[in-house]
Amino acid sequence: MTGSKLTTATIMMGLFLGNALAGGVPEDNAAWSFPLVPSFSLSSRLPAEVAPATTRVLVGSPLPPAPSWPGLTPPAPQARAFHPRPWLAAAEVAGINLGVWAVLHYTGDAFYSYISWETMRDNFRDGFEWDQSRYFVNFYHHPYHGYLYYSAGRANGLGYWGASLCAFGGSLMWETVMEKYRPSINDLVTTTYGGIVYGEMGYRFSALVRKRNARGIGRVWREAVGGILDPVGALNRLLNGRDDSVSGAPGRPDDETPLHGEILLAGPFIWRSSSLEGAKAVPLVAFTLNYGDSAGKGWGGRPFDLFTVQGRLRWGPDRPHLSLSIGGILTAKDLPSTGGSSHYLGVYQYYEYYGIDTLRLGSSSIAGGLTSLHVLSAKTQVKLAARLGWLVLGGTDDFYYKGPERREYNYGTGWLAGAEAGFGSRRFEYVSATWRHYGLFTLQGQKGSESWDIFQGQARVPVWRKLGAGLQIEYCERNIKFEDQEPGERRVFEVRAFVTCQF
Amino acid sequence: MKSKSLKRISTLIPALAFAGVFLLAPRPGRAEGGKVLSVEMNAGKAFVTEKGYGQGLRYGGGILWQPSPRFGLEVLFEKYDVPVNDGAEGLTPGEMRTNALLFNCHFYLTGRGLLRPYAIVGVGFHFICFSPDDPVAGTPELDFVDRMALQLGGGLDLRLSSHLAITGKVRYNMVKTWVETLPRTDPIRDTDPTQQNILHLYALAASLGLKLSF
Repeated sequence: MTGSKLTTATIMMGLFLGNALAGGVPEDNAAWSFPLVPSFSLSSRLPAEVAPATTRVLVGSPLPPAPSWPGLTPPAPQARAFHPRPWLAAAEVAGINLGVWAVLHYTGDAFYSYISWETMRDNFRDGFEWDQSRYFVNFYHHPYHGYLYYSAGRANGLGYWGASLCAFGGSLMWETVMEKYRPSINDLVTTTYGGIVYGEMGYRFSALVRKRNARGIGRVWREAVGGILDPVGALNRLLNGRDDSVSGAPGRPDDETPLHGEILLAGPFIWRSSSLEGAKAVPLVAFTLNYGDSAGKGWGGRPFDLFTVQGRLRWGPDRPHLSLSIGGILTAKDLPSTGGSSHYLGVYQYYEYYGIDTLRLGSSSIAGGLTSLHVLSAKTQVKLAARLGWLVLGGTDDFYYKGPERREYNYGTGWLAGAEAGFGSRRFEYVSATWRHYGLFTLQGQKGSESWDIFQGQARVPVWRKLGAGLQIEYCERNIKFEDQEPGERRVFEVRAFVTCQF
Repeated sequence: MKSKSLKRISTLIPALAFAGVFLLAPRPGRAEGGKVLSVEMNAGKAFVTEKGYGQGLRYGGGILWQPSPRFGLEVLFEKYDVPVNDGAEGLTPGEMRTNALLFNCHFYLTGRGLLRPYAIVGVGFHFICFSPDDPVAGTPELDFVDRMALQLGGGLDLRLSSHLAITGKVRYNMVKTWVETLPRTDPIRDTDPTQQNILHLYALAASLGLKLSF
């Protein structure tokens, strides 16, 4: 288990960091997709095999009570607990902003970094606006910035909500005083929202990668990878000295939480929409990582005790295209169940950066829904999930835009709905399918509304041990109704073959 | 040539000050009595490294808050005037007058002791004016654009008593700005810095002062 965790976490980190540094963005001809709902690997252990939640010792949970000794009073254990440091977190958030600004100003000579008391005064006077930055800057780079703020909060012992406040505060500071631009409302949303999701993911994965009592090159490697996933936490560990024996210490190694997933390598297209030109057989790697027990058995009552990360990297036809989609549970309520099955209602937070061919959608959303795991036999199970929620802020390509300004997409808000189903046996997921629907009303850009429907289905067969092969079908349809344009639609349909490794 | 040498020297001094903090840190000694708030007054010289700019008197004062023995947050006001000579880009001879409000972090290498070296990292808001020696009537007024800038340096406290210390600092004010013609017609936000002739008015500020702790 530990090896697979490390392998997958490292792969995920590499892809994540690769895009963060390279600024790779999915644009034309980038075919990839993400299910709306956190997918669940039916290859994971069956409920009966899953370690009961009551026996698990979660990071930061209280230690079990000491046994009683008749006639003797054993020395009270000096259990040390970590105390959150909110002021240091705030100082580190401000330090991140000043550090990023200094790099931009003195080494990058960025024009927007020329700030003064006057630009700050003007920003407060003029208030928020919708900015004109490019799509990948707003929907990918800004969340990465928010990721650092959130990491500062987590690194100082704050929980999800406290660290979320750090992400908001850091973004607000940057928008209002650290650029000469007017503050941007969309940046505030995506930096905060995406930063929370990315940050919590990085924090959790860093704890999986670190290992108690690691020594030598193994420790260096683990701390380095953990540092990339949780940068501020790693800095604090470096400066303060790590003490993983302290209860609730930030970044403490987690060797309990299960991690399951799939790595998928797709080959040539078998069939594509006739309207698409230039179809080529390009390498495509996709991954799914399910943190925690997706059936809800392992939810410890904290946000993101369960989450799913999905990504796809495609080499070509012009350059690598990469994206990520992360969805995690915020709260849940178990429903009565029998025979090993489980059902629970949950509220989920999503940040998605989605694209298929010429269709792109970036979204911050929150949804509620039901997840059910039906155990058909000792080794066979079916999982069903449904979601309905609010798409807080989304950005979609504007095909009609011909202006000189840089922004070629619309901002909108609306709703989302989704469903997912899967069938698995003997720790192998044979069939899975997802559908999601997005409806957006434009807030900025082309006035009107649009809707998206995305379907993805996979059928696999095991070939040898964890390896399998299968076919993937993907369909995306976008319908637009803009005030100054004729109603229109775009569709993409692809079938591709793949090999897979489930763990 | 002189300006180039001065630039090298003024780059080297803060770097040495920084390094000195780490190399020359004394062993912990006398406790300082847990004082958390200090008032500081200091004076010294400022050297601007851009070609055509000279050196001048600087003075300032401020408050230092130390929430922990190894960390302090300083709010400081400083003022320095330096001559602008022939050869300064875009300006006639005159004087550059700078008022700055600085927010600096002090990172002490020792939590207590007779000698307490520290590193300085912070930012400052610089309000810079140009005053020509011979103003010509009818010509447009020129001025520097105000700027926020990074501060880097180091310092050393010599404690005379639990309430009083002598403090020496060497700090670099890294101001990047340009000269504009007044009156300004557009908001500063709409001016593209990449189209301006950027001046690196990096000022090396060296000072000696007294620090009164409460």
